[in-house]
Amino acid sequence: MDTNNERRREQRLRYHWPVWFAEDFNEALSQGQMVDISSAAAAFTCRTDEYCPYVGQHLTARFSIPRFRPGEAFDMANFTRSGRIFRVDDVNQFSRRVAVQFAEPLPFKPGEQADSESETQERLAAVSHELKTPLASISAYSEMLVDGEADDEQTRKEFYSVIQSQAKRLNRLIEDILNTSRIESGLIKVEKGPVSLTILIEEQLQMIRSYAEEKNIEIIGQKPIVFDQVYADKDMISQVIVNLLSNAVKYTPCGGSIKIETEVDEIAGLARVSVTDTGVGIPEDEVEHVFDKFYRVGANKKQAEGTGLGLNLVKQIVEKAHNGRVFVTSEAGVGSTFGFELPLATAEAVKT
Amino acid sequence: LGYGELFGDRIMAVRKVLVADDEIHIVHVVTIKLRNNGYEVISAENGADAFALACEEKPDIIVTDFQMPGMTGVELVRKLRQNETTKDIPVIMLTARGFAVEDKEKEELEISELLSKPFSPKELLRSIEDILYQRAVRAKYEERSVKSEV
Repeated sequence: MDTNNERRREQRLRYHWPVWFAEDFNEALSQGQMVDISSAAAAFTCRTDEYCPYVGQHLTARFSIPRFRPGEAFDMANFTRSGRIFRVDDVNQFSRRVAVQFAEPLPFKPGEQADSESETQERLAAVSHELKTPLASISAYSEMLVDGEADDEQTRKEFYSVIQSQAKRLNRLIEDILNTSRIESGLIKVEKGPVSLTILIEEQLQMIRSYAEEKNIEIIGQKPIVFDQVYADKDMISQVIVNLLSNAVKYTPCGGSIKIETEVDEIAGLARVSVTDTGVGIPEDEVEHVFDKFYRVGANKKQAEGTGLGLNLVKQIVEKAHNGRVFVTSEAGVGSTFGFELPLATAEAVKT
Repeated sequence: LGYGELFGDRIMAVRKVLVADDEIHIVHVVTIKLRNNGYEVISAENGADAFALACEEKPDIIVTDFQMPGMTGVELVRKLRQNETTKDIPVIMLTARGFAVEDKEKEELEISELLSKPFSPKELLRSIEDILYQRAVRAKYEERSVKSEV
């Protein structure tokens, strides 16, 4: 009797999650979030098949998602791994599997349903096109140089500079994809400090100018503002600014103009940056989606550039990492204004 | 059998290629490669312009990208095939999308060749030469068989 009880107790101990984990877990469950329990699993390992409910598996990591019928927790979907930890790929794969398992749609959160197969294919094709287009130029121009198809020094110089600019473009794209993944997975560290928006904008304008000149687009700069320091991660906000500026150039026809404005609202403790273009604009019913991941405005879908990641990255950086706000207004055929608000350095400093 | 032998003493007209791609660097590099090798090149940055140019200039062959603003390469080819003056023009399609066109569609639209980007200008030139050569041989053969019937 006693031995039996003791054995059961021992088993129960072995199978109990650490208390700290149980609390996090329950809270996450009640909010319908995904839970990674691999860290707890590190403290709790099935050592023998005898004790392991998953016969034959040395279970060291397990991942669970509560599934919901509208409004109520319904059951749990589990994903186990005999390796030590889950990697981001595992989690992605898991989400896909769970999405497939659902006989009826049971969304984790509104708006995060899995895509249809054709949508996924379209996204992959779009990403492939984005990455391979600059690569195609790099590869073709190098071959031409190797094969002696560039007759004179001037042509050779031109070919080299195409290779250079396309390599930069490819790098920018890869950075976009990596940054989005980093922010999403929470891997990125936000290093905030006082940052001058005017200086950041000026720096990014240098990079975008030649692109604008190619299309004969006039850039209307801002007047310097005395106090425009925000409390932010400099690299991240640079990325936001460069994304907004390059979008503006991309979607503005040749001969148009782009206006950059910075305003400071000291009462609200906010700085606001807006980029206004004379571009194609966005149809009314599509405006609300432009910050969605991989969303591309219908009319631009077949256009060469755009991963559908740039604006999503902007939103994630501003709202998720900085408690700021992004905004957009647009009129089809007239142009768009994209921008963001960030807390001023002083306001944030007082708070913390 | 070279062009010369195939066409006897007839002087071969310079071959005209229409290149359609919204990526200007690609249009540029293909244009230089083909001009260096004796071709005449005309170009368009989108499907609609490419179609208009094809009707007007009747190129010997068209090289088009799949993904362009407005009209895709496949939509362009479909239009070309439905139009009397352009329905027989051979088409080479470039794509960076991985899997833009299915075999069935390729056959149905009589796309001579699919090349994926990154592509080699050398190979593109070779494909163009092959396709035009085969066309010429076939045309010559058909001409002969018509003659022999008479």
